[in-house]
Amino acid sequence: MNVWQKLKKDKMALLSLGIIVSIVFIGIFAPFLAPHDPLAANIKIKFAKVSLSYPFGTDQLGRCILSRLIYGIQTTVFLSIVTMLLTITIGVLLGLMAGYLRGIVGEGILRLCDVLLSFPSEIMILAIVGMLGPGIGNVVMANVASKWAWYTRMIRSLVLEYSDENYIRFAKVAGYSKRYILCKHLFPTILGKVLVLATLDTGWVILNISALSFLGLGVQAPTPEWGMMLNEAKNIMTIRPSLMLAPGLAILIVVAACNFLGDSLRDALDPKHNQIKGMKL
Amino acid sequence: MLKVESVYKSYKKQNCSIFSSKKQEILHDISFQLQCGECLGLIGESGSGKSTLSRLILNLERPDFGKITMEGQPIQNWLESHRGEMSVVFQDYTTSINPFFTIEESVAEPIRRSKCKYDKQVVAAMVLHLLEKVQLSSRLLMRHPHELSGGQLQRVCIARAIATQPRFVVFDEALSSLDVSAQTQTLLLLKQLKQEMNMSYLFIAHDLPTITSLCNKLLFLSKGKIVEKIEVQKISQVQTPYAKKLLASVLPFD
Amino acid sequence: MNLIEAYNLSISNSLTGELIVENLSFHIKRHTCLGIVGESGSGKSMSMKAILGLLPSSLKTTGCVRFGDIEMIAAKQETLRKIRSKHICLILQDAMTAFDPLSTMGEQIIETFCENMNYTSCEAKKVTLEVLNKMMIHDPLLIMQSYPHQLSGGMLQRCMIGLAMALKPEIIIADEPTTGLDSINQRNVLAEFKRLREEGMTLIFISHDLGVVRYLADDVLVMRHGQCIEYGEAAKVFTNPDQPYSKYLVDTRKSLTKVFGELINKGAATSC
Repeated sequence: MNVWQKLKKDKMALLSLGIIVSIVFIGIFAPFLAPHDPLAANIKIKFAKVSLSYPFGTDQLGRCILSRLIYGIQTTVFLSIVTMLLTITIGVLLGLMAGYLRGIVGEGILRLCDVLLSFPSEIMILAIVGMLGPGIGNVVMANVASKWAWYTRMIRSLVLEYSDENYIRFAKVAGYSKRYILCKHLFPTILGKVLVLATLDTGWVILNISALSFLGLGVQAPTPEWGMMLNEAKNIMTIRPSLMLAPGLAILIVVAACNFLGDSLRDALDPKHNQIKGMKL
Repeated sequence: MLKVESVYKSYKKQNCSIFSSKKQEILHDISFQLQCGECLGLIGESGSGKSTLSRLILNLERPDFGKITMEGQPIQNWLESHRGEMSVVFQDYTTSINPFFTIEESVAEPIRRSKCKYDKQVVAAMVLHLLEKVQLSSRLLMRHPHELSGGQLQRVCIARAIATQPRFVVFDEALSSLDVSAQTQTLLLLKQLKQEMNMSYLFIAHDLPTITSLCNKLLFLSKGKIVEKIEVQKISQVQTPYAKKLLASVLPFD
Repeated sequence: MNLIEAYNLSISNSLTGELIVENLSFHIKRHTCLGIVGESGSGKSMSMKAILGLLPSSLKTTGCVRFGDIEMIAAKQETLRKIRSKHICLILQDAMTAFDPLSTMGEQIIETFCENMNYTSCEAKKVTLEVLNKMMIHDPLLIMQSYPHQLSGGMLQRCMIGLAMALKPEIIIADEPTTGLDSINQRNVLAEFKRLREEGMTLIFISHDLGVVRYLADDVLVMRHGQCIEYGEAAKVFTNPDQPYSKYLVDTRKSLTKVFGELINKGAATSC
């Protein structure tokens, strides 16, 4: 039974996957789907109630909230996906190297990781963004910089764990090349675990990007971004608390979907996992 | 064929500080030879260094002192120039096969990676033939390792080990974790394969009945030293107390 | 008098409806030993766990198991726990994981005695030493001070048996206690079980090795695919089995030691 068939049986996984895929599609086709220009301010209709032309109402500048949410996908979700892809690529490459090529290379990578990991990640991010200045590229860079070391360590320990398995030993005795063993045997085994971690972490990155925007260090106004929208709504929280609802819920839904998908993926990727949960037969 | 000359191996003792150089000796002055076509049994209790010795022979680790040579060449060089001529079956069959691979992929892998390039159909036919040899049904081809029983899985490991027609196979407690009935069947299979393919075995085990029914020569290993070497035919005339103790530990059943 | 009686014990997977154990019936008289034989996956351990109420809730157990006047299947978890701590002891295959790796053997054994037998720690210490001495363990004080990973599997298993014995349960269930041990250790552990038997302990002994079961058991239950294949006196099942499967098990076991036996006999003959 392959992964997809297992996922199909899991309702929660299908729902999460559906949400994520449709959000990505909405993001891609934002120009066709958004009812209004997300940047067009119309001060006359500020704080408009929910109506047909403004399904989620308008904000303090009279911009359509739905359109801003839809365009926000392009920044929030896509940025976090890019961040995650970059982190994983760096982490997997360096982690495999550190785990399999012991000696100076491995030690060097590890010590570098130790240095980076000794900073709290939030402070790292703030420091990098503070030095390079706010902006989309810098936010991605800061997130990758604070995360890759953790992934590298993680993947290295996985490599160490699995290179003691008998099938790796057999491969060594049979004389397969190091590259072949790494790509064919170690990589797929580890990829499963890493994918799970990555889906769980995507939620974390979304929150992080939003948090940076919220602090005014990330994406700059007027670009629509979910964290930014929350930040703007915060200023008028006392008069219009409902404005925080739409971006807040959007973040909640995406993060939750990522987490649930991660859980289901873990079960589906484990070939031994039976349909009966928590029971080995 | 295989020659092991005064091999020593020790590991750093655990729970000592990093700076102390206290070492625990696992193997002490091990020497023996294995002739072509012979089947050598290595017997010892757990912790006697059997598995360490097998890892040294398989070149997964290097000895501290001493030489391991195969046909006159150091083992590393020999393994490189004679790819696929040495093989191994491990005790723990559950981790012996990549859980992501189907049985077919696992058995076919050594053939596909060997020097000669074969057509897809030829490989498929070879895999089928191998499964037939170890008496497994072809229905199992598309299954994953966790869907097989222990006995079946160990047969797959054997099929994979003999796929490249090795001349020398190490069995590291290959039968110990199987049921008695599966042990008997696998033992018969190994005997038969040995005759058909003219292989040399190094058979590691902790119990005498299996080892005596397969091997011609026996080495008793205790606390990292070889305490006695004997022909299987003369097993009842062992001299050392350790070997006698092992002999006495066999439960009679008739 | 029957200590445990089981009628039509069945275990099924409530999600898939698959039957794991089917209509198993057996009984154990006081001071006897029941051996359960079968290949791995035949449902041996599963049925024992079912009796003790240790199965996950996704597996449904039906039938009737009587321990004294208690119906075990329908019993509350609370009663079952009491039975497990006072009356029935379970010895598992992997003694290594049965002990807590973070405390010494002495601490663990003493703690168990204090918990279950209401001893003071001083009394418990005395009993522990006594028990270890009884198990022919050379240096009990050293054993008590060492951590589980410093001891061999056989030694741990012997400590486990000693512990189980000292708790004075009415019945000990041993689930493959000798599997995974090397032959010398296996023999030592078996000798302890033999002693248990001689002291009148009631035993259920599960193993895939007929030799071991034959050495200990009075009655034998042969299982395959969750079904009872043959149930009867050990002597009869081993010498003259009714069912082809039991015969197959006996034959495979015999042929395993055949060569060895011949060699030994030949040696004995020539040395005379």
